[in-house]
Amino acid sequence: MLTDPEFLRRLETLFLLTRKVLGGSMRADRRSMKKGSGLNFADYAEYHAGDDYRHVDWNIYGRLEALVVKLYELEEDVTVHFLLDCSPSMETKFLFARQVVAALAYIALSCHDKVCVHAVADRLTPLLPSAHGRGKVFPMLRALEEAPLVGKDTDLSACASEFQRRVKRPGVCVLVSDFFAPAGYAEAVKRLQWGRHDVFFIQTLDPAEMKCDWKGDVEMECCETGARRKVTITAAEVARYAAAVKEWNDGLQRECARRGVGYVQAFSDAPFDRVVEVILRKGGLVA
Amino acid sequence: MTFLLPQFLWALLALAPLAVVYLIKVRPRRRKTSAWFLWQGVFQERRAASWLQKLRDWLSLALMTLAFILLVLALARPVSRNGASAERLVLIVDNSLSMNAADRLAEARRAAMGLARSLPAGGRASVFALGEELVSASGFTASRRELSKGLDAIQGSDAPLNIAALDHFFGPGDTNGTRRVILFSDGCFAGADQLPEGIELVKVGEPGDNVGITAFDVQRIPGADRPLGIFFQVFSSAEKEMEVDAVLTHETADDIRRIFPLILQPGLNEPEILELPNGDAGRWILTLEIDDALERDNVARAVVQEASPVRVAVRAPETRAFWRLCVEAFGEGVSGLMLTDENPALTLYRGEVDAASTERLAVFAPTGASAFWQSVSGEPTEATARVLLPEHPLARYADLDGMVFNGVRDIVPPEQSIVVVETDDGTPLVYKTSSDGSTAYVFNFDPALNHFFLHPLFPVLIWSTAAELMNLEDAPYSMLPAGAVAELPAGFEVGEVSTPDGEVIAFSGGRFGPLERFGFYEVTSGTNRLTVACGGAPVAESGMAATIEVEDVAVVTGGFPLSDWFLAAALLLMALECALYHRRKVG
Repeated sequence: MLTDPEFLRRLETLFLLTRKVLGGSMRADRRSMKKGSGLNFADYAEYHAGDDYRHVDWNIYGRLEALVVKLYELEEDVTVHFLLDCSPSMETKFLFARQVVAALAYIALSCHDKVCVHAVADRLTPLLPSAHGRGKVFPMLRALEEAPLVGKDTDLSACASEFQRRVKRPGVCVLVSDFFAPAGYAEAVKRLQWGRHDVFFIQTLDPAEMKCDWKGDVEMECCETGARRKVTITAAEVARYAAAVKEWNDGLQRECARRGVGYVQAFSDAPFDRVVEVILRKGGLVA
Repeated sequence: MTFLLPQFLWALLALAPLAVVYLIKVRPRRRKTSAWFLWQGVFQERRAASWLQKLRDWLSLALMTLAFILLVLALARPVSRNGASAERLVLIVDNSLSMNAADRLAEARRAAMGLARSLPAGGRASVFALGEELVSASGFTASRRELSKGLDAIQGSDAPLNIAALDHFFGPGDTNGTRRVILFSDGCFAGADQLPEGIELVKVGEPGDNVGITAFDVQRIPGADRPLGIFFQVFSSAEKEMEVDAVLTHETADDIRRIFPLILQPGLNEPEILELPNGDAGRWILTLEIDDALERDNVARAVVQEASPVRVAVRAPETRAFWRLCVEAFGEGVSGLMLTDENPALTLYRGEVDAASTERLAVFAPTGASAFWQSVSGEPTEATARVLLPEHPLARYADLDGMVFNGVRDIVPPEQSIVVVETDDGTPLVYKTSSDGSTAYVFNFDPALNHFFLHPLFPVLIWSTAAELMNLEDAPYSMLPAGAVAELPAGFEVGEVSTPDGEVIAFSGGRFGPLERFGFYEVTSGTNRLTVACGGAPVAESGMAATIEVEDVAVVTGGFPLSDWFLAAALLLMALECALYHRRKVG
């Protein structure tokens, strides 16, 4: 359960750990490339008529008799979009994926970032509209807790297109999925990057999916489409499957590296807070 | 093709439910996968063999069905009815005395089993043991196991082989000519060279030197010192003369009464006859101290019964002295007579008969009224006797034919009487009759006349009458040969017999047997007890060296029986299916 006290305690502990890892106050947070009325000095600019006299640097004028105004970095909040794979293929690791999303969203909310959660399956479905501040922690956790497995397929490309249409403002986009999408993931990466988002992939996997323990005659059923096929699994098939899974995951990792997308692979048998800690240490996602 | 056990074919009805169970059992397990598209890629390369995979369950079902059908057919014992398959063997194992010699019986069993094992498909055999009688050990069967059990059940006997018992197979009633009769024997039996045509003899055993007691008898003989007459005869199959001690013991082996040093010549030796003074009644055992091929014929046994004379009373006061002489003339021996008035078993009358007479009586010169004659009348006359039943016990030892008797009167015997002797004019002279549980011999003449008392036939006639009424001649012999039936004396109609092996068997009809083993048989009938001895080996059995020539006997074998082939095929199919099943279950 995502809203029980024990889980909340672990989130709080994780948040404190985050502060220790990143150092200083978690306040404000994300620096913007825009110049504005922030506190941090950014640059000087030539004075033009109409500029605010309060920003004129009189020391410079005293020494150089030139009127220049100080420019400050614009401090603005960003929106962290969590795209949670809710397709039936996530059944065995869905709790783990929601715990990871909850932890990261908790940290984001605690850092005064906006958080938005979307369900990814054969289409994009909003789970949590834009939320801001720690007061939205419980709505966020409830929304994740009640999130159902939906859809008949995992279509990352379609979901990315939908996300691109809905979200115009660049932000941070975290896609949590097993990435077992028959249509692939490359198109999704492209579309998310076109929206100028900071994209981060968290691949959650069930260790049982990495290898095959079945032997002999098996009627295999796709957990998403319900398609069935009677097959005989021998040692050769087991080896080929293991190789195929490895090749698929390696391809994902290579694609992420090539496109500068953050990537973390997490197994559902690991503690979620440990996974979040690794993500924090790698940086780029929070703060 | 027919089936010996067709009831097993009903098991084929189980095919349908078994097929359903099988299909349920082999149904693959359903597994969900989240990487369906990856598996699709894995199996894309193996599409060529998929049709075989689809057919595999049905192929397995067909294999199992076929295996099941073959198994059922094997259990039903199919038999081919043509050619050698129809062969039927009658295996007869000689278990007579000579087969007790070193492993001969076991060798015969092995030879018979070897022949049974090589029976062709569908061939059947039966097993018999042949000693004094032909005894079935196993009926016709194709089961090697049954035949083996039958052969194992055959035990050695001390009785000689009775070749006449084989008439069962070749007698007039025999109509089945398709079988082969094979006798497994050492050939040491009387008439070995006269085997019925059609019997194939498989000879077992090797010749060996043997000495055996062929006859042994111990009898009480007259004499003041209660002597015993001892008779025995020994056969030797050795080629040379040899010395042997014969030890005579009483009751137990430790009570040695006499040792006879014998010098035995090859063949049947002269009988030894000797007298043993103060001989006790009871068991007597004669043992030859020699280690030879056949041990069982080195010991012979005999029994001397305790003397028990018949108690005879005489109701003829005026001529009692003559009667006493006649009775006491046979006063000694096992079956003697003793004159007494106390508890008589037989009463002799002259003249009238008492109303309360004994169960057995003899009446001479009948007068007055009695249940033993309807009427007696007329004056006593003289008449010549004519024997009507020469084989009757009364006439066997006393030749009465043509003798002249005095005191003959007209007498009418009761109905159902047996007239043994009559006069020339048809008047009954000696007849046997019964009334109210009493049996009487009526002698229609007066022995006091014409001095018949003094005739030597008179005591013979008295003893013959007593012997016939008391069954004295049925007293057991001191020794009976193996294979004989023991006829027991009066008083032993029903009871139990304890055999030398310790087995207790019931008997009825005053007889038991045939006697299979040498030794003493203890007979009990109510309070009566009797010991019967069995011993004495026939020369043919003791000889141990048969000269009969035999030909090799073999069964034309057709290989494994059909059921074995079916079983092998079923096992092969099941092994194949197991491989397929293994492939399906563990890949």
